[in-house]
Amino acid sequence: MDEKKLIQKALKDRESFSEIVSLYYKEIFKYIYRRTLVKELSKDLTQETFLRALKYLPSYKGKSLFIFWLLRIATNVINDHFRKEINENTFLKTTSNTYLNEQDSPEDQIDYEFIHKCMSKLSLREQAVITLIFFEHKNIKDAAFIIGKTANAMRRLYYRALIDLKKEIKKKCNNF
Amino acid sequence: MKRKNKEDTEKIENMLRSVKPSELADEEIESYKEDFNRVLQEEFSKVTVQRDRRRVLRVKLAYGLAIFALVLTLFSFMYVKPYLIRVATARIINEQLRVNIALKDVIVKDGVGIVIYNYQEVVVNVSSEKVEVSQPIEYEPSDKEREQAIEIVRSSKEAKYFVAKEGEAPQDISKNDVVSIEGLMFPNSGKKLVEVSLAYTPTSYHLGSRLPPSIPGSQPPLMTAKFTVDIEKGEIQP
Repeated sequence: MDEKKLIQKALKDRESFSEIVSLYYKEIFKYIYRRTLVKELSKDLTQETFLRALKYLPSYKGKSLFIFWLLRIATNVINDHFRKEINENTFLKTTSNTYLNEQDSPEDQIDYEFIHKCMSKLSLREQAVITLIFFEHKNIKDAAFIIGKTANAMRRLYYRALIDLKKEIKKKCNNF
Repeated sequence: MKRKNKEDTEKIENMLRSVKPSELADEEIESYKEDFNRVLQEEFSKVTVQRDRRRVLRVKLAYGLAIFALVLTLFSFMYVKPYLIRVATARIINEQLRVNIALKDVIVKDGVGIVIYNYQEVVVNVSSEKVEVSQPIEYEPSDKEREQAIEIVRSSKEAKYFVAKEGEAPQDISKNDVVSIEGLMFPNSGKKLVEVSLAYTPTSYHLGSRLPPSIPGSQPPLMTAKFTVDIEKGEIQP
């Protein structure tokens, strides 16, 4: 069925919405997992993303791909979650569980977990930019839509994110 | 410096491209999806009912706001327009007649500003900036107007502390006889003023200094004090 018709039907019909979930669950879950690296949390945030999508489905006007609209909701859900954690002071506890030995060589350290740890020190928007561009393989324009910025603002945010990430990596391994 | 930054950026971009993100097995994700579908069976109707209720509320709110905005516009038109006419009238009179007018003295009627100044009626058409000056018409006040005017004069401090000439001591003429009552009506504003004249004797009058004491039946001179009363405002015009 045509995606637009399916979305229209999903407003009232649970089966149609389940079809949408089947189509996009994996991609949304993977994105959230790359941002959090915690399975249970990713499961909960993915559920929250789809329930929020169901709630705001009438506001989707079809101006972008539906997956981008879902990724935008997912980004907001993740950011809301981390902001809540920051407010409740539980953020550092959850992000400092796994860490690498500072004596390791740079080659050993550059894996996703290490990058994720460094990214966790960046702003939520910078984290989203790097995840979307490098791990979700979105271009600047699409990432700009997902984050809710203009392409130019997105470019600035992207370079600032790279510079900040480089600083964080340098802090963790001096040879970089 | 720029080149160094570019190189650094490229270096970190290449590094990020080479990093393989952590992945989970598809089966595991599928099992999560099945869990969510079970949740969805319960949540779907709840969310859709909530969404529809919110939409109805939003429509009601929008109507409410529209009505409120309409009422607000009407009210502002009722109160703001006369205020603007007052301001414009005062400005035009100041420019053309070189007279300063207080906004509270401007009467707004049928979209024009009217000012009663120096027993003249000044009508200002604010859109064409045209000023017309007209004289009041004499009229015979009704019995009620007469009574009201006399009452206002008798209870006024102007009559109780009346000073005929500068330097004289004030005297109370509020209970004195009424000599005449005349009405003035301004044709454009329909505003009425009533002139009440009271009799009084100057305090500086000394019988001995003016008339020979031997003249029998000699009377002190009778003077009249004229008070212009604005019945609507219940006060004496300065």
